[in-house]
Amino acid sequence: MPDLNCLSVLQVLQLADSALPVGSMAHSFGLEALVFDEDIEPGVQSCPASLELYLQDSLSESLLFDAVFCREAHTRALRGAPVFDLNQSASALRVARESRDASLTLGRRFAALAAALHPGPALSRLVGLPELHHSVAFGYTLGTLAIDPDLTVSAFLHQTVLNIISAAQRLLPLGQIQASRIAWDLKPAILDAVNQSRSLSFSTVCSFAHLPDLASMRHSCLATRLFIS
Amino acid sequence: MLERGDCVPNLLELRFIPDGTFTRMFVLTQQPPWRAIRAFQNSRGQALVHLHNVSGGILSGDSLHLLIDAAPGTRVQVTSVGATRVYRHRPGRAVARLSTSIQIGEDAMLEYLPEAVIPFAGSRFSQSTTVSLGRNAGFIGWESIAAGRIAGGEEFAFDFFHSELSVRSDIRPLAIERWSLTPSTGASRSVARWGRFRYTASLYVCHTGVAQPRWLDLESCLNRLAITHTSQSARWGVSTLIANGLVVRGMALEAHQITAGLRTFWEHAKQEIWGEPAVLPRKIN
Repeated sequence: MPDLNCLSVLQVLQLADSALPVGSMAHSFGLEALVFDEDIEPGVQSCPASLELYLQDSLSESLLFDAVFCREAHTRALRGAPVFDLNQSASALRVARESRDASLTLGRRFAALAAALHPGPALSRLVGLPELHHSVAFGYTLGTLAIDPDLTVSAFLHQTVLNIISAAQRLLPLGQIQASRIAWDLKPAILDAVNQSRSLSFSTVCSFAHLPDLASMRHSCLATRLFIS
Repeated sequence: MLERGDCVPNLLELRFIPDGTFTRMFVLTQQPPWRAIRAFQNSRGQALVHLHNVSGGILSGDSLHLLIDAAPGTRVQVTSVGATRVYRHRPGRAVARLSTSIQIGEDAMLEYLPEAVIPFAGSRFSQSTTVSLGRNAGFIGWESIAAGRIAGGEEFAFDFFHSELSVRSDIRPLAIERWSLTPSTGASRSVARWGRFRYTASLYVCHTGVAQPRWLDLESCLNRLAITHTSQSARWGVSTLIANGLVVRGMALEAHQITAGLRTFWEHAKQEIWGEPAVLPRKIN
């Protein structure tokens, strides 16, 4: 018999791996436009601190939204409740089309992959949804696998932060050790967001992200783009 | 029995009904400091109403409610006569509140074009706006917010600003904004929030009878306009909503850049979706 705790950890490691074939490496969620506009400082010396500060503040704004939706989806999976309204709210809250489409695309691909790895009626229903965001798909899937909710939300945020840092490495003069340092140093901020998400509801959680939203809206106008969003 | 510090609700309730080719306004409830004197017919047959706040701004303890019901087939334009000034919080008083509810009936069209919100130093303010669209109904609404009394050198000196906006059709939510800013506890200037800008604005253009491909075309068209209006000191972007509309977002260092940009995008969007020119609300002060 396998150790169930170890099995859960291994499942989380796989599903939260940035190399999971769902296409997350193709998205920067507005970072590319923020770099283009030099809101993230482009200098060799200044870009690591600028990026880290951006991510740290995002963890109490836009990424906190994702954390709350991920947790709510996890709860609903345990109860066998639908997530239709969650996805509709997430779509209305993500006013920037490219970021919304990116989240929907990743959600759909993640759910399809998860349903293939762990077949069952719950994940089959998830795949059939016309609108499915990444945070909801991730939370619901890990809920179906009975993985701890805090671990689920932590893993989702960690993966999201790593993806943005990875995008930053392709956009900025950011070395591998510097990138790893940022990811390492942001772990307490990730856990703060996880803790906050416990007491927040998806219908009341707040996020002020006007500049990142604006960047995401402007992204499609950039003359050259490395990323889809 | 109201206790000291409780909010006293102050209601303005307006109903618009069709009357031949015109739209008539009925003031169902009007409590101070609200004042809506009469509606004017503008050159496009819209009923234009100016919202007055006779106290000159929003005071701590205020709880202002605005209900607007545009009956099927009506054409309405609502504006304010000046900026919404939110005054410094007074100890012992409740957070100042402004709640706006707009119902737009089938085939009706409503424009909600208030002046900017300016939160003064030490102010505590909570606002909520809900817009419900019936079938084949249209809504154009903008909101601009200053970081404070900029001309006086005051930026992010307010205590607290909470805002909620919800636009929905009879089928689904189209757009939701929900945010809180507490400058003393979070870096407002962060790239994750305002960046280096002093003003932020959103323009929502929605029509439940217009399908997504047309909005995507309009997004492309307005984004080309956004490029020409973007500079070192002002930035604009446009995005289609999940259904039935789009949002234009602007951030700028100067108020006039926001005002000019909003007008330009409004004019283009109205011409594209409704096939008619936008008529700037006549101001009476």
